[in-house]
Amino acid sequence: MAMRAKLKKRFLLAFVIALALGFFILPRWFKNKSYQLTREPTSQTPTDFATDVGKSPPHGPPPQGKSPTSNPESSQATSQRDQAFAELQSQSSKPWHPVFDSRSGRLRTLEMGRLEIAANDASAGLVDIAQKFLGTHSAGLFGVASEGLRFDRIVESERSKVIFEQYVDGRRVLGATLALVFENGALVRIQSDLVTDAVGRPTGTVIPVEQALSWIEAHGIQQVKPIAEIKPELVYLPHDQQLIVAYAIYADRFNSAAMRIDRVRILVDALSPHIIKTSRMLFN
Amino acid sequence: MGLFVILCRRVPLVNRRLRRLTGGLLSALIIISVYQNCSSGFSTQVVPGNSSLVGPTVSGNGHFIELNPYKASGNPSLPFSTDFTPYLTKAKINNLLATASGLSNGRLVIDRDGAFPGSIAKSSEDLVFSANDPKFQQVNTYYHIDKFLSELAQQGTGPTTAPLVRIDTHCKGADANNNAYFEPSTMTICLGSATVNGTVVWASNDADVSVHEFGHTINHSLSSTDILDSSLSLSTLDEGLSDVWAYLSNLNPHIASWYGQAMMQAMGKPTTEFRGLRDLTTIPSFPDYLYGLWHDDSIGISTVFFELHKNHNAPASNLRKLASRVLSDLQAGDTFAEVVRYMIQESTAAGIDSNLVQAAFTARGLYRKDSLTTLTVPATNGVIIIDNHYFDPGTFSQQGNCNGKLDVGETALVVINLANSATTSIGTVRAQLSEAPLSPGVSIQPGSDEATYLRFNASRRFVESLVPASVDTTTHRLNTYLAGFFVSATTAGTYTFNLRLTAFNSMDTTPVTKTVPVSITVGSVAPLKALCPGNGEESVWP
Repeated sequence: MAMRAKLKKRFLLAFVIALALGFFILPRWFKNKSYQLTREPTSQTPTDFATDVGKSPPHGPPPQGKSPTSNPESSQATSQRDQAFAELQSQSSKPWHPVFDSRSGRLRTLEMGRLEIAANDASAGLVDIAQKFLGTHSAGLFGVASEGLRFDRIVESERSKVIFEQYVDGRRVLGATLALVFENGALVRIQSDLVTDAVGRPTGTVIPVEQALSWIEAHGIQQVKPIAEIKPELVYLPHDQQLIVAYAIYADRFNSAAMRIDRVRILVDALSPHIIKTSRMLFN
Repeated sequence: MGLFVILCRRVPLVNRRLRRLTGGLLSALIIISVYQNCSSGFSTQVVPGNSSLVGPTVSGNGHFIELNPYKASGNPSLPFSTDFTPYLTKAKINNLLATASGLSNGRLVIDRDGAFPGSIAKSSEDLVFSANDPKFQQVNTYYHIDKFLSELAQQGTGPTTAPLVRIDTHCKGADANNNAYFEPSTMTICLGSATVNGTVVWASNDADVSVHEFGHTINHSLSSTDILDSSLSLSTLDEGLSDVWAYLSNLNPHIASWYGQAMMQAMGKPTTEFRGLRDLTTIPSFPDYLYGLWHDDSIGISTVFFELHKNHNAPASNLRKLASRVLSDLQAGDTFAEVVRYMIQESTAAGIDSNLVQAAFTARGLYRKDSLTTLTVPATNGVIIIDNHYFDPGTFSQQGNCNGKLDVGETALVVINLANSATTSIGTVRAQLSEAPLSPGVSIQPGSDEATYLRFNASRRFVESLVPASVDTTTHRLNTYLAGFFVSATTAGTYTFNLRLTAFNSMDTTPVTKTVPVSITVGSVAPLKALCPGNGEESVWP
């Protein structure tokens, strides 16, 4: 009984402390907050669906216009690619094995091969060598002119990986990269997650980022606080060989079911605002 | 850490319990308090630069704990309230940048502390602290991660240059309760705490947690955050390889046995026979072991590394090389099938017998090439419409009328409940939905045309192959959601879609695909409901 009374006392104490804490914090919270708290759900709900699996449910009206959901490479592009591939094979000391994307048919990876370009051009840095290679081969192999590829970074480990990001009309295509992997003075692997230059562009007026944020707030969708250190970025997203123009917004999102904060990256359609994807940015 | 997976699946229980006890008020206030604290913590953080720190280095004497208090004390039941200072080890703390404010070796910096901001260890002082001194956790974390980085450097694996990572060893940041995490947008690591019977147990006393979280930074450098976020399999691999980094550095196959135990107890979970958050000594059987959860599912890959190390004496240095090469090979959208192929392909270059790698994956059912011939759309109830999806409390819209049909004005989750007529299971199947032909009456939401079927059990439909909702509602719905597409309807009628399936194939690069037609009927407009009957959205889920 004494233990029970003690527990009860502790519980009451915790309750009072939490109450005081809440009242102290609430005014500060609302003072600077631009997004309203929403009522906690009264039902059991699955949590983290959107962020755990990298796919968000949609919001708002469907996007304008329709796009085909499959756009296999044209026969002309295929012919150009085959020609470029044959040329690369002829230059290489070890044959390349091509791997194609099962859906679009685009060339995705060249592996197992060996091209001695670094050894032949030892005076040049790897980035220069990579850029030179892309100038010759990128358009033919991947349907992307090298002008649309900007050097991003080089990852040095036992191999050197030179990574380029794709830009379309001067705008970054999120997740669209091309990497050249060098080992012992040779190019040994090529990895492409690019979209072809022939990709369809969205049309319409881009809304200001404030409007995108207001839309999230107005729909009461997420209690989010954009992170001040990371500015929202207007990007293209590849989708079925079409591009979607979107804002990438980093924010802290309050998850009341799991009683925690999720740092997320929210991709919001910048033409017809709705959330395309929410990715969790905390890796546990 | 795997902490997260537990949070995903268990914390709602805690939340419900709290609500039951307090009528919701206490939990709401705690939530607000936590968020407020976290938010202010973030606002003062400085984003580390892209280049590592450089400068003259020094060494000093310091205390660290070997792996964790269980291991160091030799007592696997050591109470969390124990002062484990007697079990600390004194050692040289190396590579300390003399000019750093705090502890730094140029790749990591510990110069802030969420819970003890006025207590920051410096390279210029004696680093021998008692276990109760906050500076001990800073030194301990530094020691273990510096050791890990030195091992990588000596063996020429891992990135030789990488962004500076800031570590808070007493973190109060987002998701720090019963957890620890790496945050790539600011290159920070948060080592949080769990409270057991009033005792605060810090993750920074468990070397597995520290190395696991820092392992994420290696993964994201060798691959990229975008790539590792691009598929469920790659997010899972990220967790698995972080466990591998921790295992190869600390040689504990029961990952995070100390902090994991604390978390379990803090959340009121049974702790008997606890074998770490992940047990690398097991041999999981694909696809039966899949939950669709990053941490749980990662053992399909991480246990292979353990087996190669323990049973086949593959040197840790070679296994690190293998992990490093596989990370470098990853591309957006890769699945376990590609990962398995990369591991076999890269093993020879890493100095490991590829036959052993292949055999290890074969034993787990991951070296396979599935057929899709036995998958069909059932004539009845082959299409499940969830027209009141409620994914995140107060977060996502409910756009349905709960009648289990797609009606005009609704955006609903559509699950094609394929049936497997084979007497064997089928592994993970990727699916894409497209309209055939395009119609203005319906649209698949952008970004929602791809789905993943976790598995098909023998002679079962997809939903019947999952963990039953009666056993674990959250997991069941997560897996159902994974297999769904979001479709909006504007005009009534019957529409034909093409469902393109790609089978699990880790044996070669030839895609195994199949396209099946699917008919979806759109009903007339009906008023939307905020919530379905049955105390929420329960009734519309299969």
